[in-house]
Amino acid sequence: MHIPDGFLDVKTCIATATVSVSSIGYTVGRLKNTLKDQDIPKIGVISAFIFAAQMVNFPVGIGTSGHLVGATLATLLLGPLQAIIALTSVVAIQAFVFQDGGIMALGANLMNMAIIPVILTYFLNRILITKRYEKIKIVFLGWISVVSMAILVSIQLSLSGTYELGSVLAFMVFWHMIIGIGEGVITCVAYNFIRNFMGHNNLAKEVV
Amino acid sequence: MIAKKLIFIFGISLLIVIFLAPFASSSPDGLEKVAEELTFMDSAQDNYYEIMPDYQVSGINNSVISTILSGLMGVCITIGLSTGMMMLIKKKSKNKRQYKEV
Repeated sequence: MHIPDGFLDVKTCIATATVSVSSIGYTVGRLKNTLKDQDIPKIGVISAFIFAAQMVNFPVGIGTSGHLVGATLATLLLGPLQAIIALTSVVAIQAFVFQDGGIMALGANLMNMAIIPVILTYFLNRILITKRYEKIKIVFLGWISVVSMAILVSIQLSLSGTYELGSVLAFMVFWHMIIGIGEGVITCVAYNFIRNFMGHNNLAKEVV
Repeated sequence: MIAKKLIFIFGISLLIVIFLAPFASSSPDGLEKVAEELTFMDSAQDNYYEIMPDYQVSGINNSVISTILSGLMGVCITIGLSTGMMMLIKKKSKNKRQYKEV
């Protein structure tokens, strides 16, 4: 899902970078008021965990793979503000150190993986209130965040003139509906494990 | 108490890098696959510089060890950057709140 340089044209890169920078700026501003000392190590560890998890591509069908993005997981564990920072760290390091995702395209990659899915997960999580079907809800949240990312990428590619919207949207959404199941299941398993392991009180309580 | 648990999760991250990452599927991911099928994969440009492209450490021929090494470095850099950023944010806010803290 990391867009390399060359797929997006300059105007799209600038537009997405603007969205990302302003979102991150806003997040930092809000975090100044809400961040507690004890949150800091937690964010670091979850960031590291997501980085590691993103390295594990799992096969999807024949000849394709998917990997965890972790936006939903981070949002559920840390709350949206901290999750945005955690994922921004991961995506930025991937681009600058590992050349996974372009530098010009970093704005788009941040928007697609660190910001929009976090916000989407946060609000959907608040709207879909259920205790009984919580596990299914989490799988759904993971799934829909991946599908939404695919839609965003398709729109960005089409706006850049790299490909026409119809075909790229169909292909991207198709593959990511399948990859999304993996994301949803892994998110659900990882979230439950970490939450039970850490103790329910020690996780974010929707501090926004 | 909670520190021990965080260290444990960090440990799991390291285990993921060592035991899972090198054996991850090398098939193209969703976007790459679509780019190949719709033939715009060629538009992709290499970056201006390379440090550890494709999660391989240059100069190490064994791809498993190369992947593990780059992954371990990545995990450490990530926790460092993330923690560092947060500490900066906290520092900026501390000045305003001193009179409130009792």
